[in-house]
Amino acid sequence: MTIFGSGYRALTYEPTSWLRRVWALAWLEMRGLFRTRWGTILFLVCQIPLIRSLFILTIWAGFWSFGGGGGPGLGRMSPEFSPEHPAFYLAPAMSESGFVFVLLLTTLVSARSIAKDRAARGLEILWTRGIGPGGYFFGKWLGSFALVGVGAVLGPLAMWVFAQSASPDESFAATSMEWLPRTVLALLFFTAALTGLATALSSMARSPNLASILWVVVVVGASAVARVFSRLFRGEPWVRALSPWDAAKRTAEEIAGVTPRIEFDPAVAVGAVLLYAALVLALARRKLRTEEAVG
Amino acid sequence: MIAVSLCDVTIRYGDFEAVAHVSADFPAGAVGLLGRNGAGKTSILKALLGLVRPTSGTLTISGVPEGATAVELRRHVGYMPEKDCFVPGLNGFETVRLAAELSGLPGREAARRAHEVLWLCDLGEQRYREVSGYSAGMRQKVKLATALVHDPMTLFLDEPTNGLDPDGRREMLELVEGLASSLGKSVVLSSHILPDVERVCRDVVVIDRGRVVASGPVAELTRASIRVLDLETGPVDELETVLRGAGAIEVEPNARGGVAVTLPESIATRDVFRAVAAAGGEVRRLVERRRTLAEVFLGAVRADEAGAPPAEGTE
Repeated sequence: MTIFGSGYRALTYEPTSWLRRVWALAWLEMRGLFRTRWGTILFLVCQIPLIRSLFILTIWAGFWSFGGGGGPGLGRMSPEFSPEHPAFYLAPAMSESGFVFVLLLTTLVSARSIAKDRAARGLEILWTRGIGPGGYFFGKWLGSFALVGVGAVLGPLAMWVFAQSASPDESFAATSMEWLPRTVLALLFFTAALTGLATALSSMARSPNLASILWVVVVVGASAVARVFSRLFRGEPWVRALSPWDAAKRTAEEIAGVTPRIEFDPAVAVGAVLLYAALVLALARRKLRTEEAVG
Repeated sequence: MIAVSLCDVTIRYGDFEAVAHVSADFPAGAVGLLGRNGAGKTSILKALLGLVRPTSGTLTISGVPEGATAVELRRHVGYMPEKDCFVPGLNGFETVRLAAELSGLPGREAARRAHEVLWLCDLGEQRYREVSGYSAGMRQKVKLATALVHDPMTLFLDEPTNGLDPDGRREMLELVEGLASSLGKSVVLSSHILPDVERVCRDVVVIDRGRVVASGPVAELTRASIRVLDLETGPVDELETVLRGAGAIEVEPNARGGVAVTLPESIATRDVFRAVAAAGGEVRRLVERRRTLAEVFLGAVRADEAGAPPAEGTE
């Protein structure tokens, strides 16, 4: 068919809002991992901590019985095993075992998000539309935040609903409502901070693989440095804040009001998170310039 | 009607002046934007897309309200990039629908429109294949579809026939020609392939070193007041010197093994015969023709380098 016989239709439309345009990008980003079978499998693998927590929840709810030690008895082992404690809901994202899976998911999604577009010169198509670099960055972050948040925020929230329905009386609802909003806020903050840092780092790399390596090096490397330094400078509160992961985690624990695994001043943690955010956003802003989009 | 107007536009990147006081009008229809690499074409396109702000001067695009933001401006124009670019992982339909949604079309309308323009660009059958697996010609078409999906009045096409085989090139030029002639779009075509521009565009703007060195209707610029003779002679020593002595502006080897001689209006053809005969040779073949756009382009660029205003048809 040629253009002459196509019946080309002139358009009249009221342009959508900025948020809807950004959401189109975010929605695309959110579904990106599921385009391949391997992506879907890796996403499910990254939900192992959540599945583990769900399993514990079913024991707590009395679906399984292992020698009579189930139910409320689980909480005596650790708050992380008790659905009546906020630490249980923080665990899938913030426990030691959750670290690997959240790191894997943010590496696959957030850290590659902008770098993959840059490598394929997709920015030239995206930025010559109705969004600028700011909207583009926000859309990319929102998409990866939403995807990581499925396991890190929505999952724990669903578990709370399940625990609520499985509890024999209303005492669970009454007590958990005291800490639930703060716990959800903590999970939102933690997910937003990690995906935000990874997305910003993604804008600095030329290829998605390089961006992934950069993100892993920053998180794992900084954590290692923080551990080594914490032995050298015993008692110095700022040392653990060298790790963005530890700083974000400590801040989230403070928001949720749970006992931190690694004790250091929350003000230092908040300051470190803000400093890292300001630093990577400033660098991302330098890298995401419209002048670079064409040519 | 003027589709795009540049008035004393200067674009600087730090100390580097990419575009210097350019004033040019692009009439409605298809207009070629010509220039060598680094001439300032891309900078002008970036400014027209609102990606860079001119250091001074004003840009006007027909239909774009005065004081529109860069994002609003891009809603009224479509852009087809030169280089190979795509959003990873998306098929043709998803790419074009995303472009539509980012341009402000509501979701359902964006999807409907994406199907339409993909059929229009002859990609209907392949629209669910991943773009990374498309051939060069199909990628060019999908880029054209993304430029067209939000129904802009003005389209900026950067090297649309880049990397295409002869068939693909013909199809692309037909599409571009149709945009201007059948759909009434204003098309600014930036290209190095001058025969393509000559075929599709009514007008051209030639820029070099950030300045406009020639502009006007193609027919006027190639008109025969400056004539070109394709000449084949018997052996003549220093043929170029002989012809220049006879008043030739340019003497260039041509594809047939002879020379292309550019003559001003004041020099008659018989003067060439006489000069060749005086040098002891004879004219074996002589064909008078219009200048090609390539010759106009090179003439304008060389005149600019020499610091002299081009002879005619220029501004």
